[in-house]
Parts: sequence; C-alpha cells; structure tokens
Amino acid sequence: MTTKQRVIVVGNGMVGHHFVDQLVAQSNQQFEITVLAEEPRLAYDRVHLSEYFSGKSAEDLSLTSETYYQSLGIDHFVNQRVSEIDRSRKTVLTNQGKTLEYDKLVLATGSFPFVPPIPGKERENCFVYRTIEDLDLIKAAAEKCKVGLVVGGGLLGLEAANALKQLGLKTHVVEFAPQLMPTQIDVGGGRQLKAKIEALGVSVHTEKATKIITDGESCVHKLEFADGSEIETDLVLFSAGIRPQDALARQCALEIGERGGIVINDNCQTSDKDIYAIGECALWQNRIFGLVSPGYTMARAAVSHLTQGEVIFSGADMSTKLKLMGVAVGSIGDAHARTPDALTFCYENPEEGVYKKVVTDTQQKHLIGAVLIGDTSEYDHLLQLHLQKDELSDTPESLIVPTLQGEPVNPADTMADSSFVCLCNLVTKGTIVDAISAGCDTVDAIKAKTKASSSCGTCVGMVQNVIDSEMAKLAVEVS
Amino acid sequence: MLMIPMAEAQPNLGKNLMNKPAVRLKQTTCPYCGVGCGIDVNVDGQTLTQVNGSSDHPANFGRLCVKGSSVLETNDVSGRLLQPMIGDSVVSWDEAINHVASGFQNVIEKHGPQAVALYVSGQLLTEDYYVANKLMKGYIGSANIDTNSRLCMSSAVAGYKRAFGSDTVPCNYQDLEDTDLLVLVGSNAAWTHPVLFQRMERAKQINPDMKVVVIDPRQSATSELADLHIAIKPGTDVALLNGVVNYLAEQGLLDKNYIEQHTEGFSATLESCQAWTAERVAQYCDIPLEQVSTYYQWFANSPTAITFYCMGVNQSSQGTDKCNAIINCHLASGKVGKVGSGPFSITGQPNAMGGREVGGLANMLAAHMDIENPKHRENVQTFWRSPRIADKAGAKAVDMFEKVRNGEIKAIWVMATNPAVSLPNGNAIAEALAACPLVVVSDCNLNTDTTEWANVRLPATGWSEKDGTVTNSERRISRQRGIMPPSGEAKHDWQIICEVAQAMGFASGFRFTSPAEIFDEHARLSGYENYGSRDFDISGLAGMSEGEYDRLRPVQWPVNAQYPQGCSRMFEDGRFFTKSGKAQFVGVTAKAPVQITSEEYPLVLNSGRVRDQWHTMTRTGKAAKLTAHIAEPFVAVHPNDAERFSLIDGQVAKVTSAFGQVLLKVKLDSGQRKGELFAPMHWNKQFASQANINKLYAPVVDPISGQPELKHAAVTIEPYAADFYGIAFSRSMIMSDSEYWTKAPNQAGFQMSFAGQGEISDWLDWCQQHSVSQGEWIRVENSSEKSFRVMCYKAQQLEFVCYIQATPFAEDTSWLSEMFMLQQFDREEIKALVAGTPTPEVAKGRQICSCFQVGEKQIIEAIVDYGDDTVEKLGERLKCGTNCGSCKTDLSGLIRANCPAVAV
Ligand SMILES: Cc1cc2nc3c(=O)[nH]c(=O)nc-3n(C[C@H](O)[C@H](O)[C@H](O)COP(=O)(O)OP(=O)(O)OC[C@H]3O[C@@H](n4cnc5c(N)ncnc54)[C@H](O)[C@@H]3O)c2cc1C
Ligand code: SF4
Repeated sequence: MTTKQRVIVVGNGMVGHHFVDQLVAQSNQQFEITVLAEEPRLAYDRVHLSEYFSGKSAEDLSLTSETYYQSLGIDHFVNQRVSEIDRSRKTVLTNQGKTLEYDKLVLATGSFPFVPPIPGKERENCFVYRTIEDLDLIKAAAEKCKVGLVVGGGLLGLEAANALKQLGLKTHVVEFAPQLMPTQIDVGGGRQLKAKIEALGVSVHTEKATKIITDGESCVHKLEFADGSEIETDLVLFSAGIRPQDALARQCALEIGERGGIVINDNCQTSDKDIYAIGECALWQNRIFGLVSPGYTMARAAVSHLTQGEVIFSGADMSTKLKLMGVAVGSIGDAHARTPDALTFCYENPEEGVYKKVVTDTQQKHLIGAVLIGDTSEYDHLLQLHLQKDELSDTPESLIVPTLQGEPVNPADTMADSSFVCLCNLVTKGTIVDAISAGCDTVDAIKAKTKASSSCGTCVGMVQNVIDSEMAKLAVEVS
Repeated sequence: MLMIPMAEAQPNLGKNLMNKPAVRLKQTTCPYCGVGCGIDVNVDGQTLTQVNGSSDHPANFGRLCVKGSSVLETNDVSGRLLQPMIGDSVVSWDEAINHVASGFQNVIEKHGPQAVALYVSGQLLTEDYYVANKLMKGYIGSANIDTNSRLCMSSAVAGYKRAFGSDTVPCNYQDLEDTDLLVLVGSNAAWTHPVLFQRMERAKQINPDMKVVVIDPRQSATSELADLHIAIKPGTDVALLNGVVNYLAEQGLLDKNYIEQHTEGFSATLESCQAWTAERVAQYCDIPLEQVSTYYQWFANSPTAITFYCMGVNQSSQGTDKCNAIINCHLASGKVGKVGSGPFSITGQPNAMGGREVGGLANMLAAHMDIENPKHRENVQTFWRSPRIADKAGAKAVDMFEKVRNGEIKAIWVMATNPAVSLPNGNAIAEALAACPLVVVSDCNLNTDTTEWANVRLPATGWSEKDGTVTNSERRISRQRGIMPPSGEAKHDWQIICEVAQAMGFASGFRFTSPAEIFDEHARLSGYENYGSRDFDISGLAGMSEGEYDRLRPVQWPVNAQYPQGCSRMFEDGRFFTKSGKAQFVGVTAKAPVQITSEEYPLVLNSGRVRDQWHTMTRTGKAAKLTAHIAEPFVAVHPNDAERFSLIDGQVAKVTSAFGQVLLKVKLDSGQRKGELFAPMHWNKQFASQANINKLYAPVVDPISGQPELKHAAVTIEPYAADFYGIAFSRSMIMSDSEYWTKAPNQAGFQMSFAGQGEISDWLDWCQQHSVSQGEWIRVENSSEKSFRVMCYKAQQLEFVCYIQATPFAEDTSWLSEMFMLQQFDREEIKALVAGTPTPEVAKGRQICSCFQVGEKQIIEAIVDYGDDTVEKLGERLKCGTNCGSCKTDLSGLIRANCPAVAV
C-alpha cells in the first residue's frame, strides 16, 4: 500500500470526474485516489443541466454514483470544500476540518458565474445558473413570478432564458454587447439568432449596460440601463460569463494569470510540479477553455503525465454545435475571422431564418472558421474540412450557398478511420465502424457501446453520418 | 392672317406597327432645351409608345438628342403631384384655390401689392406665362413677377435691348449652317444644345473651310469640334472681344459703311477698345498670343461670322456688357442681319423666349413693351381693361428671394421651377422659403427641394398633357400639344392662375376657356398700337379658330402684315427699334468678376450642364437611360491642383465657399485650367446628399440684367476623409443616409453611390436596412482590406448588389448593373459577383452611347484591336453615335486617347 501514490482530486465536476475515470482506467491501481467535492452530490452532466427543468432528475443527470466510486476504491467526500493547501507539507484542509496528505494534487475546481458589480445584485430573486441547487432555487422562486430576466446573452444566458420561458415566465434577455453569443458567433449570425429567438417570444435587448437594480412598480425589480431605458422583472438570472475558480491556487501562491486562471503547462502541471489543474479553472497559454471537451483532454493529459504516457494538452478546438430554444447554432474555429487577412463568405436567407458563414485564408484554400444559424446541416462537413485542413475543391461560398452546393455529401465517406468523431471521449471513426459491424445501428446503441456523443453532444450528427455512410456501403455491396 | 393647315399627319409607321392601325401620330415639341425640337409621338390608345424627331420641324429636321428621345421614360406618373395639398393634407381644388386667393389677398390688403410675388419659369407655355403676367402686372398691380429665365438669358435680353432697342434675336438656325466662321463663347452646345451642335458638325463636314472657334476656359465636348479653342481666364471675355474691334480698326477692316449708316456711338466704343492690342489681350486673358491673333484674323477676314453665346457669357456680374461687346464686334464688321452672320444668343429653356414675349420678367411689361414707358403702360392697361398697371420694375429673382427673406414679400407663388436648387446662395433661399408665411408651389412633381417648403402644393399638368405654344431660340413659335388627359387632378397652369384670379375677384380678365383664347389675346396685344414700332408683333396669328390654333405650324415671329409667313432673319434692312432707328454701340470695359479668389478660397468654381441631364433633374432624373452617361455629380480638377490639394481621382472632396459646402467626387481633368474647378449644376437633394453647387455662389448679379454670376465662385477644396466608398444597384428602392450619397435610376432599377465615415460593423445588415429587397443574401468580406460585397437574389434573378471598399473605386463598376439585365442568373453569375469579376456578357465598360448602350471597353477594343480611328468607323462597327449623335465627341475623345496616330 505504501508504494501507492496519493492523488487528491479537488472538485468533482465533469472534468474532475473524467480525470478519475481515466486515471482508474489507465493505471494499474498504483494510485490512491481521493475526491473532495464541494457540491452535495457527485459529478453530474452540467452540459445538460437545463434538462432538469424539462423533467430529468438529478439522478438522470448524474455521471457517476457512490457505489461506482466505491467499487473502484475511491475515497470520496461530498459537501467537502477544500479551504487551504499547504504546499510545503503537501496537505489540504477542508471546510469540515479534515486534513489530507497528497503526493499529487489535481485541481478541477471549475469556474463560478460572474456576477457584475451592479448595485442591487444581492436583492431577493437574483440567481445564477450553474448547479442543480441554483436550479432548485430558481424553480421555487419562479412560482411566484410573472416576469424573468437574464443578464447576459451568451450561450448559457440563452439556455437560462429558455428555462425561464419553460417555467412560464415572460422572459427578457439583456446583453451588453451589440449581439447575442458574441463569443461564438459573428454579428450577422447574432442578428439572425436574435430574430429567431424573439420570434419564440423572448425579448432580446442588446447594447444594454445595467446601472442598477431597484424596486419596480409593476414587478419586484426594475433594471435601469445606461441609455436611460428600464425593464421591470420579478426575477433576475445572472449569466454574464464565468470566472475560473482559482481561490485555492491563489491562497497557496501558485502562478495565476493576469485575469485569473491557474497557469498550466502542456502536462497540465501548475507552477508546482506536484499540483495539476484541469478544466475551467486552468489557464493554458493564457486561455480558459469553457467547454467540456477541452477539459476532458486536459484530464487525459494529466492522467498521461501521471502514468508516464505521451499525451499532452496542446489546445483545443472550440467548435460547437447546439440547439438553443430549438434554434440550431454552430460555431467552428475562427468564427469572427480574426485571423489576419482572413476572408469571409456569408449566406443569409431571412425568410427561412438561415445564416451561414465560412471563413478562409487569403488564398481561399482552407476553411478556418464557420458560423451556422438555423440550419447546421453543413456543420460536420465544415468541421471536418477545418480540422483536417483539407484544401477546398470549389469556391468558399459554394460550401454554403444552396444554389452553388452540389449533391449533399456525407462527410463521413471521406473521413479517415483514425479521425476522431467524438472529441470529448476520443472515439475514432474506426471504433464506431467496428461498433456498427458489431450490430450497433443507432446513435444510442453506439453511444452506449463507445461513449461517442455521450458528453457535449456536438458529434451526434457525425455519429449518424458514420452510420449512414457504412449502411450505404453495405447496401452497395449487397446489390 | 397666316394659316398653314397641317392635317394630323399620317403616322410614319414602322414595319412592326404596320398592322396596328389604332396608332395615331401627334406632333409636339420637346420639353427640354431652347433648341425647341419638334417631336412626333405615336399614341396607341392611352399610351405614348414611341417618339421620333419631326422630320419637317425646322429646328431639328427629324433629329433628336438623347434627352428628347428619352422623353417617354420621364413621363410616367411616378413621383407626380396628383392632388392639391395644403401642408401634408390632400384638399379639394376649391379649397386650395380659395386658400391661395385669400392668402394673397390678405397680404395685399395689409401690406400692399409689393408684398406678394410670382416666381415662374421658362418651362411654362406662353399661354400660362401670359395670364400669370397679366394677373400680376394688370390686376394685383405690382411687377413682382420674375422667372428662372433671369438665371439664363436676362443679360442677353439687356444686351440686345441696349444695342437694338428691342429684345430681338436676329439670327436663325439655318445661319449656323451658312456661316464661314462660328465662334462659340461660353457654350458647351455639344451637351447643352445637342441638335444645334449636330447641325454645326454637319455644316463643318459639308464646308471644310468653315472655321469653328470655341472660347471657353475649359476643354469640353464642344471644343472637340473647334479649329481653335481659346481657354481664356474666366471673366476676361470683354477684353478679348474689345480686342476684335481694336483689331478691325488697326487693320482697316471696319465696315465703315455699315457703321456710318446703321449705328451710333462707334467712336466712344472704339476708344474703350483701343487699348486692347492682341498682346495685351493675350496677357490679360492668359492665353497664347497666336490664338488671339488667329481669332482676330479669322473674324476680320471671314465674309460671314456668327458669335453663338450662352450661359458662360450671360451668367456673369458683367453679363450684359459681355453681350454688348459681342454685338459691337458684329456691328463694327457689319455682320448683322445677313445670312450666316450675327450675335446669336441661345436660351437654355424651351420657352424662355415665350416668357420674354409676354413680359414675364420683372422689368418688362407685355408684348415687348416697357414698364417705364407711360405710353406702353397705357396701351397695355387699355387693352386689358385692367384695374391697375404696374408702373415700376419689380424684384428680380435674386432680389425677390432676398425680399422674401427679409419679410418684405410675404406670399410667393412658385410655378414650374425649383429655386431651392437653381438660385445662388441656396442656404439663404431655404431660409427665405422657411420664413415666408405663404409659399405656394405649382409643380408636376410631388417632392422637389422647393415643394419641401410649400404651404400649398398645386398639381400642374406636365409634358404631353400641357397644351399651348412655345418659342425657341430662333423666335420660332411651335405648338406643344396636349396629347394625354391630365394625370390625377392636375390642371393646366393657365387654368390654375385664372381660377385664383377669379377667386381674388378679377373675373373679367380671366374668363379663358382654352389656350387658343389666351394666345389670341396675346397675338392681338402684340399688334395693339404697334405700327412697326415694336419687334414683337404676331398680330398675323390673331383670330385663329380653335382648330387653326391646334394645327398651327412652326413659324418665326414677327408674323404680321409685312411678314405674313413669319420672318427668319431680322435687321436685314439695317433698321433697328431704337429711337433713331440705328443700332447702338455700347462701349464696355473689362471688369474682374465680383467673386474673386483669396487665400482662403483660392480656386474658381465654374458650373454647367452634363449631356443627358436637364435643369435640376426633376424630370430627366427619372430616366435610367439618361443617368447612364454620368450618374454621379463630380468636380473636375486639373491634375496639378489635385496634387496641390492632396486629391485623388474618384475620391469625395469637400468644396467650400463663404456661402456653403458640398461634397463631390473628384474627376481629374487636364482639360481644366489650373486653379479652376468645374461642377455640374443639376443635382438636387432628391438625388444627392450635398451636391447642389449653386449654394456656393454669392448672390452677386449683373447690375443691369440682374442675372447672377453663376460661373465664378471663389472656393476651396479638400479631401473628405471617407472610411468607406460604396456602390449599389437594386431592382427596388435604396435608402441612403451616409454623409455622401447620390442616387439615380438605372436599368437595374436604382443605383446609389455613397461614402462616409466611421465603421459599419455589419454591411449585410446595413444593406438590408437600406433596401427593400427580399431573397437570399450573400456577403463577402475582406476585413483586412475593408472591402465588402453584398448581394441579394431571388428566383434566379438578381435583386440587389452592393460593393464597398475603403478607397475610391478605380475600376468601372457598371457591369454590376448589367448583371440585372441577364436572361439567367445562376451559379456562374453568383460566383462572378462574389469574386468581383464580370462575366463575359457584361464586360462592356462605362456607357458612352446611350442610344445603343455601347460601353467604353467595347469602343476602346474597336479602336485598339480593329484600328477604328474615326467616329464613322466606330459607328459602323458598334452603331455608337449613329442615332442622336450626342456621344460623338466622347467617341472622338476616346479615339484620341487610344489611337496614338490620331493624337498627334
Ligand atoms: C447550463 C450549462 C450548459 C452548458 N452547456 C455546455 C455545452 O453544451 N457544451 C459544452 O461543451 N459545455 C457546456 N457547458 C460548460 C461545461 O459544463 C463546463 O465546461 C464543464 O462542466 C467544466 O467542467 P469542470 O469540471 O472544469 O468545472 P465544473 O463543472 O464547474 O466543476 C467544478 C466543480 O468543482 C467544485 N469545486 C470548486 N471549488 C472547490 C473546492 N475548493 N473544493 C471542492 N470542490 C470545489 C465545484 O463546486 C464544481 O462542482 C455548460 C455549462 C452550463 C452551466
Ligand atoms: S436638342 Fe433640346 S429641344 Fe432638341 S431634343 Fe435635345 S433637349 Fe430637346
């Protein structure tokens, strides 16, 4: 036993859990793993948190269970927040007074919602949207409210707005920037998205800087904006971005980025080689990665380093595809065309609520970014072109302008077996093809067998493409 | 009485119309320039289907310029004012008439007749003009009626009157073809009077010995025809012309006999000319000596000579003197009243002459009678049996609006003109109209820069509806016929005036029921107490029946017992309408323009027309065919000045004077003199954000004629720091709000050019906000170059395209508009617009020939690749220049620029 290395994992969010999962899988029980979780329950699927409002229980969302951890021999404590790290003694102290020794420490403390310093932000019925507990509070409060408002029109803010709408509230979204989802999509896409979301009955207010929250007349609160306008609401949800949870790292004087985040190297080691940081709390090359897939990659890199493997973290593609209130949204690579000399090609059909854009290099040879709103059917093809750096065979606009598009191609047809379909769980096309040959002919069956598309869900379409591609080949062979 | 019946001619049917007997042919006149061409119109039921030049009209003998031949394109009801309006509400005619009548009456009662005014126009027909003048001078009792012709030829009128005792144009168009020497002064006839210019071109072809001299500070389409182009320093004309008289005297080439017998005042005039030796003239006018000498030799030795002059002479603070300096040359050499000789003033407008005849200017009475002459006043009042007669000159245009501005005039009625654009110092005009308690505007258009200020808008009939007569620049009276019924509730101007007059209680003088009745009264007045004492006498046309009036054939006044068939040339007998019967030499001295340059405003701004536009564009601005030649206002700058003021070709520049500021695109032009700019005067606020150049001019006028100095403003120019330049074409309307924009109709539908400052974050959105196009949109962006392309198409048809970039467009963009004309709009076309490279079908280049839509690139190709080195060869190959001929000078310019052999 004494030969075992003691690994303490702080935080049991999605990434912390994946780390544990992977470490167990990659090691030969040479580690003694302890999980310290601040939340009252073990890891759950935060990505699908909103489904909590549409009927899923906490249990449905959970990614693991006490019994499972027990079966792996993992010590785990919920409601156990680490409050101090003593690097010289290599110990951690929890809020419950527990002191534990570690050989290797992994910080997977994630992030916390940023609440802008607006006077009145502490008033009643002002919430954030991150944990199941947050959602419980929102649900309870919403019963007594008519109007709800989300501060922040990013990806999360819109998901939150959808939740408020489903709770029966008249819903407003207030965004500081001139457009919705300024991080993932461009101005044009934001405009189309706004139109579609407003058509669904959510009022979107862009370019609004909230000055103060005070007593309302017809509602509980009134938000006053810098431009002199105001909106009344009974409930306020802050979704103005996330901040890396780096309090512990600060406390023990690890290197911290200028704007927060625990600085890590390609092995996910912090400035203390025995302490790793992964997931949303980690800052790699001055960037925070606010998605689950890069977090998983970090987790695998850390595991690899602990097990003398070769995998390192070398950044991550932040492309995403999702449905917001039923609106399909896709963002690939340099969606804003910030690359010097980049060229942009957009297609818009306002009548059908479709906006598509591709970004290429000056030579129009390579796809470096894309935005899709209302119709993401090209997503997989574009993502593949982007990731595989394929040279474009036609003019860039031909990728997205219906009149110029040829017969729809199944991007899976030309995909190499070694290419990854699911980036969260690192499942290759080959693995899926094998699963298909083994009789898995639905996405769910493949998800169950290979874990592909089980995390962020972006690759569901591509998994289906692989199935279609293989089925077509079989059909040809048969005939 | 003269009656040349002209039965409704048999339609000259084209082959394709052979089997359509319903087509009628109607003969009328062109509504545009002072050439006054006859137009044959095919009428199919209620539609005008085709126009052709009337082959038997003596002004044009079948020719038409591109403006005239496009008249149907400007004739639809879009943009028409169709109902009377008070403020923004539609009212009944009764209400409108009573409102105007009582408004005028109230002002007259409280402040007297000098507190009201009419500002009328050379676009009115003689009959309209006649009743307007009668109402003002005989019934209201003031002479505050003036006309936009003040801006056009009042200096010519004053010059003729001083010299001949009457406002008589001695020559006729045929003289232009019969002369040995044609001197054009201050005229770009190639663009402004194209049909006359075609006649000049033809004359020169027939008679290669004929010489053409063009005196104009800038190189123009007209100077292409010149054997000698003298680019004088602006405003120095008098010196050059005085030098002619001096030269004649020096060389002993004076027509002593003529001077002796038919003129007075020669010796005093000679004195004022003697100092002007050719050397001194060359220096003063800033031109090579040999040019001066050549001109003088030619003039002195040519058996016949015509000096043909226009705005470049008239629109000056010394315009009247310039006219007399011209006339002096002709008197001194006896070149007046002879075939192919004379001082020939050309009017800009279709009926400026008619206005002169009825006395529609503030310093005239009626039928060429004088307001200062008690006998004339008595004549007119007796004839009219009017309660009053104005006994002193009223306010002339510029003065009139100054009086409106300072409150002396409290009610003004503007008819068929757009003073907010055309008068100098436009900012003050706007102020005046804004301050005036009652502004009535009769117009055929709903929105003009002037109707913007109207309290009452009265819908007037337009061309093809209006019915009456006009007089062209050679004294020829022609019928402009009513072919169509009035649009909407529009009424004829004469009807509106008569109704207001009657509502003011002046029933007796205004019971006219047809233009024929008015014309008859006008004809009778011209003969009343005349006995050969006045030039204008058309008593021979009095007493016509309605039918005879309708069939009236073009005829040159006077038409009376002495000249029953009219009179083509005046003063053949050497007798003039002065007291002595002799023509008067008027000694004049060269004076500098009033608006002179300074350190702050170091450049001279000259103004004029472009080929295919007319006046303030209220009508020609509607025709796509007419905007293709020059769709955007510009300022022509000599390359050296461009360098000095850091300007590049195609960029937007700010031109500023002490009176205002405009934004115009720079056009490098080595045909400009250094230190001098040129800009066209057409663009109003409906078509451009800030291109009304008349507002840069000081309200400086000729002291005698009252004509403003619209050719010589002191200005400065600087680059406008635009962050973006855009060009858009669209099947449907485009809205504009950038600091610089200009719009024009286009074969696609509409086109807009724009430029502005600041960053537009989403050009796709901007385009969608500024157009009403619907369909599928594409945007292409090169953010590092800040260039953008936006397009919209629907059902295989292009709807909208807009290119935006950070720098002025150097490449021709007209192919973008050609894309709208393609039969098919599919993959290749979309890709072409995305890539910014024209498909082969549309790569024609800037349109040069409007009639056959021949583009610059095609022409250059024909010159370079096929060696077409004459206009005729180009015409054979491409048809360009073979219809109206307006583009021939552009063609010869292109040949010179692209064919090295010809350039030498
Ligand atoms: C509503 C919602 C929807 C989302 N949708 C998507 C999506 O569609 N696609 C996508 O890729 N991503 C999505 N995300 C983001 C994704 O959920 C996160 O990127 C991911 O959960 C990050 O994982 P993490 O483990 O780094 O952080 P977290 O999930 O935040 O986990 C960190 C855990 O550490 C705990 N902790 C913090 N400090 C301590 C301490 N001192 N002691 C003990 N425990 C501590 C926290 O309580 C927390 O439970 C969504 C997020 C939300 C909230
Ligand atoms: S020359 Fe003048 S009158 Fe003749 S067609 Fe042209 S515009 Fe009309």
